[in-house]
Amino acid sequence: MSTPPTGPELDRLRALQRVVQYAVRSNAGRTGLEAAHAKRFAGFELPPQDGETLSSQPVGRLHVYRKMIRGTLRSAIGNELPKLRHRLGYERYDRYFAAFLEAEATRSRVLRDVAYEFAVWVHPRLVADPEVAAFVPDLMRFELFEFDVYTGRRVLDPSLEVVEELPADRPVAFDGTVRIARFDHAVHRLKDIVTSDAIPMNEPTGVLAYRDGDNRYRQMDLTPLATSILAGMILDDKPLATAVREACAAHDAAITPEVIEGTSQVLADLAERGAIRGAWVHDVPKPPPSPYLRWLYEVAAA
Amino acid sequence: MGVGLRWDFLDDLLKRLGSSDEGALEALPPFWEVSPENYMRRGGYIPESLERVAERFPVITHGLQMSIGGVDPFDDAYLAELRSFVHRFDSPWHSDHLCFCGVDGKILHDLLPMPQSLGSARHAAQRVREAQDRLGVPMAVENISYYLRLGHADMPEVDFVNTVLDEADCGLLLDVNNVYVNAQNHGFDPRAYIAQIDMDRVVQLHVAGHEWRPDDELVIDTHGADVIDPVLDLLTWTIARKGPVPVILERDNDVPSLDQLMAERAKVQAAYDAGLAEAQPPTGPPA
Repeated sequence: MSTPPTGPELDRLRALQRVVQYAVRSNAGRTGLEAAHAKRFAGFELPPQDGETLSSQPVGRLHVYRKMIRGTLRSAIGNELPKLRHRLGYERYDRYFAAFLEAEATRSRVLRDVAYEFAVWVHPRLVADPEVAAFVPDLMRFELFEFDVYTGRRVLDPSLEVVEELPADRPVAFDGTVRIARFDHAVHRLKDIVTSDAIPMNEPTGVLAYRDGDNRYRQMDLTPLATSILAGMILDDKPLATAVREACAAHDAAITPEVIEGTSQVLADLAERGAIRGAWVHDVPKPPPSPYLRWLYEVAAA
Repeated sequence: MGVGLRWDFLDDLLKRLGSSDEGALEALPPFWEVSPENYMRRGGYIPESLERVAERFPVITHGLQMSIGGVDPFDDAYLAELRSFVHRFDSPWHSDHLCFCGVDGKILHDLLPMPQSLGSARHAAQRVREAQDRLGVPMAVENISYYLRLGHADMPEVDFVNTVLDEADCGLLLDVNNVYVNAQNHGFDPRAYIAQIDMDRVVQLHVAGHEWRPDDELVIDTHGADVIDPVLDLLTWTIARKGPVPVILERDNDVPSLDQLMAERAKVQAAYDAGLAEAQPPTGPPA
């Protein structure tokens, strides 16, 4: 980051900008805004002339920004999480949206990131909400999981060494669209209907998905052991041998020929479909992954 | 006369690009404007489609979230991605709005007004210079539509804009509709405003539609309606003073079909041509 500018004019600008931010984010709403307006925004450390100028204009001139910005952000989240909005109902969704905006708001300059920021914030709250069905947080994460597959950038890096037979001792380079996730409910098997009220099975499940050459979403179910092996390879760049050894130890499973054969088959299948691009050359910086890759995989217990 | 590229008509546009019918292509605008934030860090159909468009047409970049008037430091990752995008599409300049977009690390995803003061203008100018250096292309700032005077003003809006242009030594993306909307909401003569702009600074124009919102008692710059005749007249008047310059028709809400948008573009083109006819010195045999 550059050095933040300082000085009285910048303090003034910051104070004025905080007034707008308050007008947009506060849950005190129009009433709170009218109260602040009546007091010439005392408490915002504005120069007196600025407080007078703001209060000399109808409060609606500030409130219009509140309406527009909240509308933009609410729609941006709802468009990426339409199933969550349906399952919560508009009233509860709006309540959580308002709480998110006041407490956290967004830090990204990319509008499509707002839904991710909201989801990360709201997930533990949904889990703790007794009026929200237990599968809903999984469903929300799955909506973003799918979206992330659709919008992921493919990896085309000159440092990539493409080999026909994947070496067991080197990290595998998955296509940039590959995502892996664990869910407690089989949300990935629900029909892709926004207004569906179907209840998913309470069934721990692993899903690997990627985008094919025609930009279509593809997914496959994984066993718990396969999920752990592939998660080690995708999220932590573990070579195949290490990923298998560690996953088997974690699952208290022996490294049997069936495990080796099954894993090899999945990898060969993914390579054939273009979801594996080759193997990384050692000691070469890799492209940064999706910032939400790990959160999409699983949400750590609070 | 270009158009802002929107996803609403992308399928139709790609179909025409793939068509062997030359007439289908001739009806399209000669260049497009895109907002990098909609494509950054994104793969898949949308950016691949942009690549296809860029194979056939020049692209101009127009940003939304630089926060030129912001007091938070520039976001290094954002500027690096922006630089890469602008150079990828070989945009002759990059434009963004003379506004702030957030404070204290929070981004509000809107174009928010700055105080019309000398200090504020100098702050924005310093940021534009920095952005220009970091992007490696000339910058143009756009005059925004605003509904609130954010703090005491030392000067009228047009003087504020001119001060930024002079101090930053940058271009102006003159949004004719924004001048009109602000004139309605804040009570000034839009032609007098434009007459005070140094036309040598103007590198591009925008036109768009707006709507009167009785609940707010404001004209809102929605980009969700056709361009009205007074704005087209103002465009003609501006072109008569400026001469040839790239113009973009923006439409962000209630986006019509590509055919309807091209019909709208033809109306804007007619207004532009009328301005050019007025601007050109009379030709003919010397008296």
